Amino acid sequence: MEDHVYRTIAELFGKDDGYCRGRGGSMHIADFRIGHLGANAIVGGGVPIATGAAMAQRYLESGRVVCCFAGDGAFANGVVLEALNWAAQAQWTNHLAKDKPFGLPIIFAIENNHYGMTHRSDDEVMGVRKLAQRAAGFADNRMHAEVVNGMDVLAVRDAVARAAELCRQGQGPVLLDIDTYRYYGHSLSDPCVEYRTKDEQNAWRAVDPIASFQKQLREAGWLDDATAAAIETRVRERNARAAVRAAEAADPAPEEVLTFLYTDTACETVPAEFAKPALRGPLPEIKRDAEGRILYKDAIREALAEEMARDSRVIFYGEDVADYGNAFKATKGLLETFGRRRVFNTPISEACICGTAVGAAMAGLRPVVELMYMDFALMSSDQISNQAAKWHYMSGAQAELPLVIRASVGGGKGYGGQHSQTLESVFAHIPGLYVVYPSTAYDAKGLLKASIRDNNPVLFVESQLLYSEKGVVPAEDYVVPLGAADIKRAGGDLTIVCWGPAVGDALKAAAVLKQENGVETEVVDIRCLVPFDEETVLRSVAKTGRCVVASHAVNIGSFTGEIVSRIMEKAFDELDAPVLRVGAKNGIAPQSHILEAAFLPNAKDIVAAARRIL
Amino acid sequence: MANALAMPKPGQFTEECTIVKWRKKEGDPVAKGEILFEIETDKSNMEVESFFEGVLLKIVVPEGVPVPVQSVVGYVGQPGEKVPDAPPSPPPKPKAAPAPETRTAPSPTPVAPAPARAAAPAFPGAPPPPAALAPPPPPAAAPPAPRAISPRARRLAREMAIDPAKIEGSGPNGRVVEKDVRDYLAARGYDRLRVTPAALELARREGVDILDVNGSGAEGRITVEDIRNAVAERPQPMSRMRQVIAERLTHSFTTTPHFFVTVAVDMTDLTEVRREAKARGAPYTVTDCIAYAVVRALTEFPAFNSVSDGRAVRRRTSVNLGLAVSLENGLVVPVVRRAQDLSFAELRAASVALVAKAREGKLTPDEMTGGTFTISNMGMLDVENFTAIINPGESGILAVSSTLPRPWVRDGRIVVRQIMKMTVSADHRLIDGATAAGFVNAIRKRLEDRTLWTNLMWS
Ligand SMILES: Cc1ncc(C[n+]2csc(CCOP(=O)(O)OP(=O)(O)O)c2C)c(N)n1
Repeated sequence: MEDHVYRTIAELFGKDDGYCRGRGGSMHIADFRIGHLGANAIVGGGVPIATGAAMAQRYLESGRVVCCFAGDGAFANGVVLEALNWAAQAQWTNHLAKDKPFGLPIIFAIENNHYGMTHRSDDEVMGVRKLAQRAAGFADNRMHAEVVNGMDVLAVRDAVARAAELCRQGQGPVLLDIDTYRYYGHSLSDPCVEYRTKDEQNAWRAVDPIASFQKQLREAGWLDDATAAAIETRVRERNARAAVRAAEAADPAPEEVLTFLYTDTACETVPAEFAKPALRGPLPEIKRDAEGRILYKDAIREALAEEMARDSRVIFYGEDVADYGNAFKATKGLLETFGRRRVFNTPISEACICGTAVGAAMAGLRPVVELMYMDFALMSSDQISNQAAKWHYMSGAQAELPLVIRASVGGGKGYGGQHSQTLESVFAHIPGLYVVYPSTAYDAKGLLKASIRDNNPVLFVESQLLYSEKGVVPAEDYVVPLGAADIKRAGGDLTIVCWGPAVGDALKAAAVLKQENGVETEVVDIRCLVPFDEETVLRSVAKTGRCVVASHAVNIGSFTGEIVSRIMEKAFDELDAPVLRVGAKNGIAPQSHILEAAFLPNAKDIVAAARRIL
Repeated sequence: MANALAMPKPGQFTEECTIVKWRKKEGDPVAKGEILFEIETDKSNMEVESFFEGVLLKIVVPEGVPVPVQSVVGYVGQPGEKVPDAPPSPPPKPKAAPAPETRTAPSPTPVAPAPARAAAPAFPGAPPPPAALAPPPPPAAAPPAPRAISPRARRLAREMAIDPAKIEGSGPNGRVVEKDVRDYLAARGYDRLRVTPAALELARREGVDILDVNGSGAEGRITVEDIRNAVAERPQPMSRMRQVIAERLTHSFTTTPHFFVTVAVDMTDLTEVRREAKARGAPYTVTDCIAYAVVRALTEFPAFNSVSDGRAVRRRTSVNLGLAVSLENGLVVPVVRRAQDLSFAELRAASVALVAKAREGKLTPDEMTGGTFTISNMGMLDVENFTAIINPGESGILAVSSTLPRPWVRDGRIVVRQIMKMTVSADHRLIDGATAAGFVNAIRKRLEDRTLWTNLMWS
């Protein structure tokens, strides 16, 4: 126990001996060794993660139960309500679960101290008097919700034991609305004068759980004054010792500030217990043409199928991905091969799709999840950016998050402003995530397989424009390493750095430039924004001295600017002309095809940019 | 309120001036009459005193920045006193003299307003030329735009130790790109160049264009020694004073049709008279005598005291005699004003004072302007004969050479006499040969007039 206290205080002091090696602090403290998946400074942000961890227990049949603590304030947050809905899905227990019906083994424990930061939950910002009532809206069995006297240690113990037992029987989730109180302000600067009375505080203190519990023990003859005093002294002295030791402990080394941002591990060999699981049917058949070519979207499907066949920890879920085979028929057949335990539809709940993947990954699975359109990633941006991207670092590398979020870009198909965005630059700005965007069927398969095996969280971007592009894809197992750019065409006069659908544009432009200007263009497909293969880009620019950077993203704030700036910084003397970039206009994708054609960049724009610097 | 310090107007026609040195730092106490800063004028530096007592609160105009005269350059006041944020703009310029062009001979077509530069005298420090006589403005040659060059091309040029400014650019907007450098290297036969590695390294470091260096090593190899020599031979910027000299004399010599008339003067008598006078304590020098003789001759030959722009002649009623004084780093010409009104003794006193000031660098701009004729005396430099370039705004200059013992025909016999040659340079636009001959001979005759000098020096 003393070690726990020491490591906790060391973390509060930002010491290298803290649980999170000083990277987390009080708001993100975690001890993954004992299954503590971290405090969360995003109110409610941990709830889908806990839900995902419960999915993992269910899937692994571990017999373990997840207890998810959140405050009453958190139970107003969308992601928490989404998580309750997610946890209570019928498919966990009904006929869809076939021979393994089992409710999610999770206890949602509301630490209901009746206040958010300062707002009153009961009679100010909520419409129900008892938060336990929420449960009725999500599950026909009301989630076995209970209101618990949180000031009574034994009552809490009993309630949690009951709930855990229900969960172990596959009757989860359970919701416990535990009444308690917060004696102090939300923070040191809050003296609690504006929003509650001294009388109220005193009334709660009168039923203080420690004092009450001592009283119960004394009455039962299990505790006398001397023992009580001795315990108190022992605890005080222990805490003081731990605090002094923590204060004297070493600080983390400043040069290690970025250590733990990423892990350099990947799943090279699958542990025997997960390797080559039994399948429900053959792998989905993917037809190759005479040259061995398949569609880009089929390359995705093939990669998923191969990786799921390789490792039972790989599960795949998203909206409409199971029976229907996703909105683009890119995942058709996976359900039939792997069954609903591993391939299933989800509620329209993007935050939970990503958040549960985080929890499942923390708890030992290797989930692949799908966002139908990349635009919806903004619905789950907290789970992607604050959770998936950060937990490896914030936990001081206690946790690895091997998860892949696939997101497709609808741009170019006339879907308008909310279904067409190319947003990878937004996520490349969030350290901790890998961002991958293949441009060919070959790369799509190899990169997706590498992403699934990698132990970092990967945002895997696909372009719907490319789904029906064909390319030669070996039927064999191969991976394309993350962070290695690819020279799609070699040339010595001009470099075009690009990714995604802009690669095709660049190749077309290169052909025009060759034919009309006699210019040899080198097309560098970066393939990954993060990790970024700076070396290959700089080497090409060193060779040609001229560079255009192209993508389908709007120019403002685009990763193209990052690339240009690195070239300026590191290869200035290699440049024979300014580096130009080509992207979509700084606007919103319009629905009209005419307008969208004007909005998106194309090969002609790249040719024009190239000619300005030739 | 703090007292604003204004940039003085050192010369009647100075419009802009530069502080070359602040003698006080911000926060330094300043007494009335103490030197605050030095300004650079076209001819010399001038010290500027404080009219105020207090502390130098703020320096508004740093060293080296030219600003219009009367601009606020700083503030003196009591410690802690507030200084305005933005200095008040300089007072409106006194109504500028109409631009010369606008007053040139009537012209049927309206003349475009002169560019600002042309409104200032072309030769700062020249006597204020009458508007109608202003020399044509110098061609306003815009400095050549720096040639755009790509970083890659620049690096290659640096590596090769060549000057990229000599390369024509073929890139967008004429930018010099790598290919241009390579083409240039090929065209200049760079491949055949033999350079020792150390020499190449030194050339890169010193920015020497290796293509301009002739190799002195075996088989024409360029060595470190060659690069060192090239560095030593590199043009160095001239001082401001030299640049002004260069500008003024080039203009004069290329726009004034000079011709030269030389006479030999028998200085034997004058030398004797002067030696005797000196033995008796009279201070006069030969130079004083020449100055006096020239002033007298100028009153007889007004053409030499006039100025022309080729269309009109302007006579000057007073003789302002310039005396060329050579300094370590150049040349200044202090001017003795109204010399025709001065006695021999007064003329000497005035010149001695001015020459001394010139040597100390203390001449004020007004003491260096307004000359109507100049004497350049190289007598002490052991020369047979030389010619001088007319100062702008004047029509003649007298070049005085050394007095040397020479065989001389006198009364049909060869005797040794003290002979001094002097050559007058004249502006042929208003002076012809006969006038010039008359003018130098008038000087010569005076110098050879024993009686005159006896009277002047013994009186
Ligand atoms: C998403 C988000 N919104 C707001 C906050 C600021 N904030 C921190 S704690 C808190 C109140 C949380 O109340 P509750 O969930 O009842 O937990 P309690 O602190 O009462 O245990 C707020 C608003 C935050 N950290 N995250």
